[in-house]
Amino acid sequence: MRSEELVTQHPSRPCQVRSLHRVTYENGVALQETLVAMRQRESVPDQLLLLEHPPVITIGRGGDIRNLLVSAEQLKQRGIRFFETGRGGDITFHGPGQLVGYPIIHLGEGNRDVRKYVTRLEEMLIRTVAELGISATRIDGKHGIWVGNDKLAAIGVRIARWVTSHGFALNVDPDLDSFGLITPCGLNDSGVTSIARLTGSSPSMEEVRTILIRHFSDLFARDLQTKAETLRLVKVVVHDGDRVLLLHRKPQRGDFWQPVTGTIEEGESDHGAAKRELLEETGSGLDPVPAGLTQSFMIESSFLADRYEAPVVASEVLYSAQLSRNTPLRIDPEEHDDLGWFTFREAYEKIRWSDDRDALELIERKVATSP
Amino acid sequence: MPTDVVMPQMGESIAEGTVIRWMKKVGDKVERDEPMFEISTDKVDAEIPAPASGILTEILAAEGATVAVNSVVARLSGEGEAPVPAGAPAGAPAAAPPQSSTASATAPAEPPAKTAVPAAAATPASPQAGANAAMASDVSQEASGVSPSDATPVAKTPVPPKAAQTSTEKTTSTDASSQEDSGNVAALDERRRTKSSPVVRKIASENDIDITQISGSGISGRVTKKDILDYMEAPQAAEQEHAQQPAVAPGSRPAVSPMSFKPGENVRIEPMSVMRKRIAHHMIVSKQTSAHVTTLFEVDFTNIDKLRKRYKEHYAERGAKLTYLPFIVQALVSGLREYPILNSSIDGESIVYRKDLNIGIAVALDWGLIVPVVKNADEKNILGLAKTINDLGERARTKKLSPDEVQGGTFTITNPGIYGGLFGTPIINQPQVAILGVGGVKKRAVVIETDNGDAIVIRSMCYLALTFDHRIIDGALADQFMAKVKVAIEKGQFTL
Repeated sequence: MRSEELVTQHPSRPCQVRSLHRVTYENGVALQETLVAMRQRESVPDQLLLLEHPPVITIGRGGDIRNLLVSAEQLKQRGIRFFETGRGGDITFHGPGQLVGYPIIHLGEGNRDVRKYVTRLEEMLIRTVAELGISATRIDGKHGIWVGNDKLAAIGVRIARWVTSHGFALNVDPDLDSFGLITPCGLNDSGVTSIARLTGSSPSMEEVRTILIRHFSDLFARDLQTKAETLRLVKVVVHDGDRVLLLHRKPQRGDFWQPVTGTIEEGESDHGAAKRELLEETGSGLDPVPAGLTQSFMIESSFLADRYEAPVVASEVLYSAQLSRNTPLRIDPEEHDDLGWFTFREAYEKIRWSDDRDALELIERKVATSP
Repeated sequence: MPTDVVMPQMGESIAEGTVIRWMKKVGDKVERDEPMFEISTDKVDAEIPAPASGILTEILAAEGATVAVNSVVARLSGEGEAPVPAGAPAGAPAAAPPQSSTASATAPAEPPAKTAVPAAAATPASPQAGANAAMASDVSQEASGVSPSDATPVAKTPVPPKAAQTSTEKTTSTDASSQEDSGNVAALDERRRTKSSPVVRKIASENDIDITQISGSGISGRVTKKDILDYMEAPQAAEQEHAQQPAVAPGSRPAVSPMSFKPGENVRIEPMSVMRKRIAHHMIVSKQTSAHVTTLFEVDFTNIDKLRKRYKEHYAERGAKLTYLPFIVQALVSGLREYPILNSSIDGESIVYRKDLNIGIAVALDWGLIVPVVKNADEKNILGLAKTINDLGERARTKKLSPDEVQGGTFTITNPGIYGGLFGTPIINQPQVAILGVGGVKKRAVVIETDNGDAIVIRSMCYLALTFDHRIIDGALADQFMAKVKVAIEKGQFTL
């Protein structure tokens, strides 16, 4: 195929680009499933999700578990989760520093060809890294893009009623050592590389996203519209060094335990919102500390459905605050009906969402390593 | 009315697919458009909806089976018709036990359960159900931590059960099918063949390897990609392949008088490399297949020389080294378009006209010879051809060509002139019917006719030798083709 021929031959179609933050693998799957179903019903235009995952190893259903080279215990020690997933392909690693893209697009008449779709994704990646000075190629019989014998980007795709999901993972500057825990894609004879390793410097994720989006638009003939998150939230993990404070949401508000959370209001900084929420939900006037993590996830609730267009996608900036357990606290009776101080271990049992879990883990690690 | 469920066509060039999961089992009621099974083609997983409503009466392609596009993988009876007695279909035992929990959870029509859960503002939702049951079960374990008995945070421990479960599932499903024909070697071989992934089968067909000859390390003897690659690497692979050749093409090997050297004689004996054995085999087969005839043309390359001089730097800036080859390829393309029989193959008593113009270019290597292919050469300009030829040549020398890049050629060019040879009479690269040998380009004194009478001028000349298969190409036609190529080269009008 000539490279010009790779371009989808039809008038441009709209496609929403959602530039997300860190997304847990579970939340990523949930968002994709929702968008795939909505796309199948024609209730959303095509979508391109761009995000980063926390460290996770996933295996396609056709994959061979023997390509996972370490024990569950070792994975746990390294804070890496493991999932079997519904995409094509074998085993792979995702983690921070890797640009993950999930195009959820409908392959219309004339483009119903999985091979061409994958080739286009590869071409998009090849053109993207070419602008960063890297000459990558495809290798017949293997997916992804390669520099020499090393894989620079992986591809794993699922198609349901000609709506695509899953997609690609481009190694911008991830921890390449983590790939040593697996035989990537089940290929024994090849290595893994990253843009940072190949060029000696790491471009910003933002820069790579911008280049990639342009090539996506060209190759798939899509008119891109940036779709911002519906809600911007803060989460404040309050702890005393041993235990964390969780609040219980009232049954009509979801009926589950969670850290302090709230919406960043119009004109408010995320720090300001963290401070305000901490005060409103606990009565503490403490100044929360940013934890260096922003997550994205989808919120599906009938409560929000009336107010916002689906899917409701939120970003959430994480803060922490250290507070004595003896501090008298008052909760906001509108939202919560109980509060409790739990050990981290207990807290993992109580909370419901994977992003809360990741947030607690991060704070637990920070607490453990702080003097 | 019974409905056949077939392996769908997932793309133009995709000939088969592997069933990876049945989401329904025999006896299940299926709604039209409801996802029924999942397939994998080209490492892309796809969910296939039911073509009609009815009862799933028969599964013909069990999980793991690779079947051709449009072959029947299952049958649906109209609603109300009696389902086939249990136990009859081969796929059922394999699919049912390990999948039962998944299958129900997967009921894909089921709307995401989470919409029903009342949740308030700022409530991150966790995935609970959806099209992917395996994942959904991970997720609910992970996210909600429903495992009160386990003191360890559940969020951190999905791995051992998952891993165990995965392998059990796989073992169970294949054990079930292996019992059906245990002890039957032919069936085992058959299963190895049919159960190998599309990738493995592709490698096998491209390299002419009989999968049943490989011992598979995969589940139930399935040949994995690693197995086949190891097989190709291993020395005995070449031996076996070699040993099979007489059987495949009887009489195609030369009658070589047995020659034996005794230890102590003044010789050095070196086994042929796999590549050398392949070349030897191909050369002999070609000689015995085609009726080789060579025709020789003298062609003036002066105009190409001028173009090369003028564009050399321009091309270098674009990363392409401008040799004679791109021009020769473009000239050939014009000839092949006019005389398509030069771009054909013979299949029994038929002539197969190849619509793609894929020009193979022989590259000499220190350790042999390889012919990477410029695909769709007619779609490239001189820059595109130059880049492609540079790239293929470079990767041929650094052993980085993929199998696909040395296949599918419809016409070949070889370059016997690079070391100063005037011309050569090449051997046809089967199953093609013609090959062009390009001699060295050399300045010679040439007599030309001008308006002022004959003149002796200095011109860059080259001998082009075309070897063609006289079975289907007559000399007159071959020469007309060459005349066309000669004019194209001498005119020097190229798409740059």
